[in-house]
Amino acid sequence: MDFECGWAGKLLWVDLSSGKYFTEETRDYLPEYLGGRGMAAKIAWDNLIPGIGEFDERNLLMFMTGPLGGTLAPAAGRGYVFGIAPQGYPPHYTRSGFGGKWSSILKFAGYDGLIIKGRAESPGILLVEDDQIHIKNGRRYWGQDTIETQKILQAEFGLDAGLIVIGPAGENLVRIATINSGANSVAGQGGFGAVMGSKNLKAIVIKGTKGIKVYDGDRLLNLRKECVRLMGDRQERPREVKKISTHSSIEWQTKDLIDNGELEKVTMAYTPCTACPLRCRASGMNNQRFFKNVPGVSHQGLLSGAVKCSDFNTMSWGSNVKRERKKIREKLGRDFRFNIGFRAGFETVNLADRYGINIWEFNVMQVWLTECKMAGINLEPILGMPFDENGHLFWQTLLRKIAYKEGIGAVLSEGVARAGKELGEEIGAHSLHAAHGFAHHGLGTHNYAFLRFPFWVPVALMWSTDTRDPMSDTGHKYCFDLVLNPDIKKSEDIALSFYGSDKTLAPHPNEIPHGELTPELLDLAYLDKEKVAVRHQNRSMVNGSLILCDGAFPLIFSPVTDDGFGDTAMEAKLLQAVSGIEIDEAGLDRMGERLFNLERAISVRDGRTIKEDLSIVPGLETSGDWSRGIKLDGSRYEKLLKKYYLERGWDPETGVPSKDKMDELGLVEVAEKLDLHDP
Amino acid sequence: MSSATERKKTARVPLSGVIAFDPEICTGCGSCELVCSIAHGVESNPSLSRITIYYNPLEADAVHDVCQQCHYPSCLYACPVEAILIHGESGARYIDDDKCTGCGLCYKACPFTPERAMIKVREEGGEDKYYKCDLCKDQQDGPQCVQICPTEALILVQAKSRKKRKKTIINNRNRNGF
Repeated sequence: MDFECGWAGKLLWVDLSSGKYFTEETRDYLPEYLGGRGMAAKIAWDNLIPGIGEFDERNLLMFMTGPLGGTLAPAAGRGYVFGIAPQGYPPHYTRSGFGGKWSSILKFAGYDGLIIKGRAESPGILLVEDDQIHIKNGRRYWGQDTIETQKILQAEFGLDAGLIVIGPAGENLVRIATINSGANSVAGQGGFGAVMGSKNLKAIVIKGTKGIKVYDGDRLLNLRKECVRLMGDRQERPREVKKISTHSSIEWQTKDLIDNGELEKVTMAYTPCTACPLRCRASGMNNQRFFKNVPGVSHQGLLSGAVKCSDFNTMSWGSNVKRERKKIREKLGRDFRFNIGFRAGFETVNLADRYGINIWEFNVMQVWLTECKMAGINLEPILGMPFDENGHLFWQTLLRKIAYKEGIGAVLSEGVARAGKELGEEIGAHSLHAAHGFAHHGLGTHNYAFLRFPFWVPVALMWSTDTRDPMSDTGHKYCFDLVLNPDIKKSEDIALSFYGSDKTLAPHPNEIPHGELTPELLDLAYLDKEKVAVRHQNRSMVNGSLILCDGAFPLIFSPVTDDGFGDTAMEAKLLQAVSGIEIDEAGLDRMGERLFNLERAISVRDGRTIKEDLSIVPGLETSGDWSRGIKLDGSRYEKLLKKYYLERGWDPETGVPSKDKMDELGLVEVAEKLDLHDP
Repeated sequence: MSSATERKKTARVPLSGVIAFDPEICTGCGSCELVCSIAHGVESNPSLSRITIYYNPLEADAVHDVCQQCHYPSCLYACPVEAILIHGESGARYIDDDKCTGCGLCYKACPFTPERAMIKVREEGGEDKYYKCDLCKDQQDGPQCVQICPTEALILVQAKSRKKRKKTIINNRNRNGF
């Protein structure tokens, strides 16, 4: 097998310290490491040995693509960045995905991955034009925000150049700094912007004129059509969203625009990744929009930018969970409401993007601080300014302080996990840090209050055993396709077939309307949930390697079929059509399992045990389900975690993969290096 | 008016269809570029595409360049080796790869040069080959970019629905010896 189709063929290594670069053949990693997450895991296992810190010169910043990128495969335009993440608590190897066009342009330049090590002596930018690689002086860009930097680079290199940049937050090593591409594609979680900043690298500019060979173009086109068909009526004609007022889901948020009669100036657009027909509507996350010409409030002029789930929640708390808010108020006795309004809120999220600050972390900070205020804590002495949850100027000032590490910003710039510890127990108790350095995401709290118990139990399990929050590239489809599906019967049928158990969605939250749980219901809630976690993690590993969007794949549900079944073998079919490799769904799943175990081996080598996996428990025992107040049952959860270990073939007492399992998966060398023994 | 080329200049060529583009609904995904490069070759490669999308990710604005299939195709008149031909059904003005010598006169003659990339050039076996939109004359279902466009921002305007040549212009041209 020559692996000529699908992959671009080379991995580019650039050492910023020496200014030298070399390439490696991608086929050396094929087929067992596939691409993206799999290939990065192999490189990390070989290079990121314990002791390498997040801002260490030896830390690698790996931008990876997959075999489907740059082809007509649907939802295949995304890319990943890997490395030791500063946001991790403690810093550890993890990943962050981003959309846009940069990743496919990297492939058109001839590279499946770009791996950066070392540190430039002075601020620089990396320019890759096919085989020409230059590290250029980047002084004139340093200090500029992400949008302005890109405008200058666009003027210099043209619109066909793929750009990724960091903002002031990344330069200042803020642990929640992002890497941005365009006005809406951001590698947010992990704080990889700070890694890029620590390497003195302001931007990476790629221009490519090469092509990706496709094994069977006609079949790929047919599969693409089939995918679009299976996504069904969630497709929306762009003409229909021209007028904001016709769009109910965001109407209430844009009310101040409507009232001021400024609606006419604002238009909306879609900003899909390369060749994607789905426009971020694949999984029901239909509130992703690109707004143009929104008038500023404290800044003159018109602003453009994308608004996603977390952005809407930054503008106004509870925009995703309107229906749950009443319940939250009843159950917790507090209303967490803050409302900056659409225009001022848009300006605020735009500012976060410009500084390069992770909006999810910032949004959690908003909820955290508001909650502290509701609990009667006087925040003024700590913040150094009056706390004004409805004032956009307050939040914008806070963003500036975080980006430049001024005053309270220096504490908050370390991320929710560290700031929670730093600010003392009283304030820290509200911090919403879940585990591994990542703030609550899909655990039945704040933005995800619609995810009711027991649906967040598998999410917690995925979180426990992963290196970051799973509700992005691992569990999205579980949430949006099954849990939120109004047709419970269909969901249960799909769950039975996909997870292999009909108890994976049981008991349904409607059976426990007021949150009173009997022991039987509790047992049921912790039954078979490990199957959900294992299945989605393995599949996420495959999709992260191919790279397919987590919003679209796996296609477990389709609104157009009678029984609701999608096509979970679609990934394998797409890989066949693009690369010509003969592989089926089961084969890909085995590959996913193998690669997930390799990622686990990296964690274990860094000292990960069951103790770290269980670190999510104390928080969930106190926060619990916001809409009904159900909290995690620690002992039942620990048993469930051990069942998960058994399902994975790991040691149930320590969470370390067993030698037998590693041998079975063909990871003999890894097992030897980890010094695993037979039990 | 004696040589074949001169005679050709006086010839009225049949009207052609053209690919029209609506920048308001184009999302800039670039599917058209990829499918074009595959339909005319083997690779998925936007730089070999005959349609070019200029997409600005900061403003979500997209504009496109694709051959306008002129009523009076300067490229066709300019080609010294008659490598630019008219396709029977669609009327597309297309470049015959085998005949193209790579002289570049068509590129120079194109009224959109150099601002817009209607005619592009690639290197093939040490020779320059010029290429441009041929309305997918070899495909049964017509232009592939139109077929794949997820938002129907690209539309094929048939020859018969294009604005007819104005008689006065033709007369003027005839008077001026064209």
